[in-house]
Amino acid sequence: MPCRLPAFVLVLVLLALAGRAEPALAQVPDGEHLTPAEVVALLVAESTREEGRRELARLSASLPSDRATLWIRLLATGEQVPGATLGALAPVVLATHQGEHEAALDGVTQVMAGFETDETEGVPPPVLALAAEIADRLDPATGAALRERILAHAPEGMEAGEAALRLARYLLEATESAPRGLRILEDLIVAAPDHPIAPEARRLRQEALARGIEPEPADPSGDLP
Amino acid sequence: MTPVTRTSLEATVEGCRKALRRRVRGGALLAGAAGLGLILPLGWLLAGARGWERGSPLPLLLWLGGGLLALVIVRRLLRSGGRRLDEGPLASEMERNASLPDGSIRARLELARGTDARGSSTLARAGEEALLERLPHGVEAMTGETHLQVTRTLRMGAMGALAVALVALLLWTLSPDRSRTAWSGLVAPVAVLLPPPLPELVVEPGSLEVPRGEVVEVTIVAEGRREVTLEWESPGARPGEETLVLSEGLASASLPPIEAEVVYRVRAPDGATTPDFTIRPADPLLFGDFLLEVDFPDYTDLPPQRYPHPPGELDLPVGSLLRVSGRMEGRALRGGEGETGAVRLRDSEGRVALEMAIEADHFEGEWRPTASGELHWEVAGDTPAGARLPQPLQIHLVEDQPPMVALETEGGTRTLPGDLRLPLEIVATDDWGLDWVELEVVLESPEGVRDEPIRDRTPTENRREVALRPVVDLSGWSLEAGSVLELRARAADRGRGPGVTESPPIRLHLPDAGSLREGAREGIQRAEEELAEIADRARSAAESVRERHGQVEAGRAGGRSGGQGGQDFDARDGLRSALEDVGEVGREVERLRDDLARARENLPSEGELAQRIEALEALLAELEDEEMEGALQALLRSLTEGGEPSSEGVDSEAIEAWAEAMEDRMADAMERFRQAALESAFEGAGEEAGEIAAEQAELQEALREDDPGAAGRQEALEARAEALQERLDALERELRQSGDPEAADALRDAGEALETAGDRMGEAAQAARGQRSDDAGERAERAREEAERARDTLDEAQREWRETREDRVREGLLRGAHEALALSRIQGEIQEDLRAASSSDRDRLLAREVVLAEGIRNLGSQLLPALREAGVGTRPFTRVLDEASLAVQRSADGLRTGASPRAGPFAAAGRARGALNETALLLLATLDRLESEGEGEGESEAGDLPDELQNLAGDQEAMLDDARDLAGNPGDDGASARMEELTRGQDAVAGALGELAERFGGEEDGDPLGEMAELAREIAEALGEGRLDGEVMARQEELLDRLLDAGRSFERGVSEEREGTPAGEFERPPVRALPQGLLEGSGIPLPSAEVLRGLPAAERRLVLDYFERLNRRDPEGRE
Repeated sequence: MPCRLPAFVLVLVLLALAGRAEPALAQVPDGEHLTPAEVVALLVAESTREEGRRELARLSASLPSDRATLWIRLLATGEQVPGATLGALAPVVLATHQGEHEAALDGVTQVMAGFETDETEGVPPPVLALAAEIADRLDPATGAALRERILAHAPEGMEAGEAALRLARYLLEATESAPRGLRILEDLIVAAPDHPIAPEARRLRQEALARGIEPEPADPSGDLP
Repeated sequence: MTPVTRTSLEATVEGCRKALRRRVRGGALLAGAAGLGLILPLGWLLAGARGWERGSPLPLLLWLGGGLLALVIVRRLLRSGGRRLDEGPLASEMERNASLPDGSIRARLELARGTDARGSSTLARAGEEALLERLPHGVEAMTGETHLQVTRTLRMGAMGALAVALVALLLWTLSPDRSRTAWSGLVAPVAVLLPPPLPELVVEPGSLEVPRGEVVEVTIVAEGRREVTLEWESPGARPGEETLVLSEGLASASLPPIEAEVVYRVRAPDGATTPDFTIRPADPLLFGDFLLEVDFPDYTDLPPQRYPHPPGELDLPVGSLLRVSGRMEGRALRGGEGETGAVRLRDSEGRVALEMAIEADHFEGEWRPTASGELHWEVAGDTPAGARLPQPLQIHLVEDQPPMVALETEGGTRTLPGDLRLPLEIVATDDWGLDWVELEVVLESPEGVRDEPIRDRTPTENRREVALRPVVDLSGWSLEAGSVLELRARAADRGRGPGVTESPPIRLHLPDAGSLREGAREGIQRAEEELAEIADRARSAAESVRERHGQVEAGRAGGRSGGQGGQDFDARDGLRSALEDVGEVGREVERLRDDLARARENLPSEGELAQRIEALEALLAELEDEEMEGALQALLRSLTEGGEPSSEGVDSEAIEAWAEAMEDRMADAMERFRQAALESAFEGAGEEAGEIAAEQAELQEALREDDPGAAGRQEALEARAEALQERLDALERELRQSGDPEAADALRDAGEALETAGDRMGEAAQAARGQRSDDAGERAERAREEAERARDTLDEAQREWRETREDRVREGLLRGAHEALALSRIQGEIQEDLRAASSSDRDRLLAREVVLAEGIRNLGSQLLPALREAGVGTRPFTRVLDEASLAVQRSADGLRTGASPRAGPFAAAGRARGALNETALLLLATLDRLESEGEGEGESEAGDLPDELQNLAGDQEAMLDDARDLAGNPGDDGASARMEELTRGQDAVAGALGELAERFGGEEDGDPLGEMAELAREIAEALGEGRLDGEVMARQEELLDRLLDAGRSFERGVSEEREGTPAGEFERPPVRALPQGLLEGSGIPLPSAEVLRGLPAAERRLVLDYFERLNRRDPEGRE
């Protein structure tokens, strides 16, 4: 991946701004929504992180639905990762929100790198899922690769279903990978027929079959939950 | 003229013969009847005015005679008539009467019969006709004399019969009774000959005793006889007899004056005889103007009774007084030299019961009998001749029976109710009447110290039966948990002697904290079962309302367009009934809430159990949709009152929504109740296991020391362990059913440990009964270990079950949020497609929306169970998912109907996305809230910490004692085993402290729990190395002190720098006397800290809360 230094610096600047903005935020009266940047600043600082979570929820409820989804995902991710990770991811989401997809991707890559260098068990699937969603806006292939990691390491996690669906969709776009995409869809449908996205998976499968794609043979190791 | 057939001569002759024969027979029969009829006048004559004698054969003979005569007459007449009517003589007669040559008819007859085939029938016939021509017509003319004779016979017979009939009629007319009597005997001659037996003779007065010289009239009843004979005899006198005529079966006669014994009897002519009766003359009583008065004792309330003659027998209640008075008849009584005359009553043993001096022929006295028996009258001194003493007096003394009294509580309970108002029932009866009834109450403290009894007595106005229902209000008493109230009732009558009876005592326990909690848990389980039934009824009622309302609305529409009224009436009636059911469901929910509130009453308000119950009560309150149910009740009222049903606020859509909402709320509530019941069952089992382990630890020592009651207590504890095992089995099954196999397995392990503990307990008890105290102690110790293992396993299982459930809830909510977001992104993609789509993309986009709608339904199906398990109301989520579904539906509808994808469908897709985002936010907010509440529960768990530290302090103290003992006697048998046990015990304390440190300790250095755990480990290590010296014991003491201090510190939550407030002096107010059936309470000061310190922390809190609640009541008993 090319070095994204300028974007990384931007993230650091944002972090610094968020830190400097800290004292003023404490005096925002009730009823007024903070800006996304202000919320991110709260999330970044450990001492204000809890307040930041509350403001994140309020922000998510106030944004238009198409802009809110990513922030809600951040809120959900915050329930599954340490506070510091949430704080690190918040600027990434902010960058995406502001259309700075490259900076966002760089930022989330840095966050992931931090998991891969210490003694943890690897990048948590929620972080991978968020990174994939961010990467989709810039480089679908990166997003697909991240989803492959989700399916490889957490096939039964709560992120696996959507990851499988989106990966399959990506694979179905190319002829050589379409059979595998179809296989992934079928495994998803068999494993979780009542999953909320199982109907969409069936629809994609029908489309693929209608195009004459045949699924690759089943992988004994299994890709999906 | 009697015509005859003249077809031929033979026929003519034969016709004449027949006609004449008829006459002969008639005459013979009539004559025979006349002969038989003679028995009537003869019977009249022979029976006479008095009728037939019983057994008389005359009626039968008359019949026989009359029958014979009639037979003879008939035979003779028939014979004589028959001869005359032979063919020959008759033919001759006919010839004579027709002036025909003799034998012409006879010859012609023979000719007619003898004509053979060679003869000429024509010729014969011509001759016959010629004869017939010459015969006169009619039998009379042809037969002349014969006819006359025959007719004479007939006439005579008729006249005879008529004569007899006339005579009989005359006799009947002249003397119908005699005729009836006589002829009834003829009708039943056999009955006259063999009559039924007559009734026995009845004689009055029978045998008796009469004053000498009295005339006795004898009355005799002798049915069916006409006379009887009275016979009598007396010594020294001639026997007498008198025949008495009976009138209507009765007769009477007087015997001669009775001067001596008379024996008499009555005989009847039919042989019946009475037994002999005896009439004895009685001399006059010696006592004149005799009077015996009985004064009954006061307790009987009977009026005095007077006897003007000496009675033979008296039934007297004990305490009765007899007053006797009278006068001596005859000449004045004189006693012997120096002796005064007296009348006495002497008993069968010769003792004088009453002696009355005779003064101027008068005597009187009184006496109160003290025993039953026969008393004889006697007179001291000369008695006049011809007088007699009264018959002996038989006295039966009836003892006054003591009253009966029974005391019982309402429902037979032996536990004081939570509100401390105790309804009682006292029933008392007595044979003569009750004087008073009393209630006694004795308070016994948990330590067994008994207060002075408190009594309340009520007069009962001598009623024989009394039922009292007092309600004793103990809320103003200073009752501690574990107190016992002993109640008794007493009843007294007014009789002599004890006269007071006491009921068996009733002991009522004020339940301790554990019992109150257990009662509350059972309340939750009962509520769960009841709610399931209520939910069924609610579902059914809502469905019925839905259906019937639709029918009513349809009927109303039909009515406007001329529909049928009958069906409309059925629908309205059905709706009314369904609405009543809805109202009843509401009332049942209210009752369930009240039951839960009562179950929560005596629990510490900040305790987890009380809060759990309070949450369930709030949940039940939320089941009600006040607005809708108010509208439904208004509709019900309008239906009940008749007229047009009011539909304000109750259209079909509203009802549909209400029914769905109610079903959802019921389902949510049932899941919450199920979880609460499971939690409570788990908790209760853990608590019980802890109590069993603690008691077993005490029993272990008691058994070793050969405590006399220990074996019995061990057996009782064994029974408790068995009962707990059954509870664990049931809980295990429930956990498996609800998908918690790990928790179920842990319960199985705990159950097995408990079973082993129970077995060891049984063996220990057996050994104790066999006086093998060492063996008993050993087995008891093993039982304790197993009981503790069961307790620990249960505690661990409960903790893990809670954690697993929390993780599952968390996972469910988070997963739901992710899936909602995934669907939101899909909808976003669709929305983007819609923005750029053309009409040709409509089908593809429609398919995507339809598929998305299915995805939203799947999301809803998966979310509901997770939300219910989380104990969260599902309505907000179903509402927002419905919004999303509806928006997707609108988008699809727009695409389906050809709307521009960029217009309506696009906007609808945006709303759907917003609803899905809202779903995710709701789920995350719910998760956040639950985690915040969980931290609060963690604080509640921390509330249990002092209790656990207290228990560990107890264990440590016991180990310190053991260590001291062991250090003082190192060479004792079993010292090394004891050392090992001491080491294990210390290890266990270290482990427990380590666990507590993990749960409640901070992460910083200097955490007291961590330090104590470390200290305990070091002590255990030293003991493990065999060291038991002064230093080790000093460290044990230090650990003990720190445990005690830590327990108090954690309880009060004070910092290291404590500032205590010394407690004031406490005077326990005296227990107040019972008022007239009720006891009013007043404010009670709190117990002192010194009093409280002796209690475990949990019970301390219970007591404080209890007194606080007591003091909230005002003197009127209101809160």
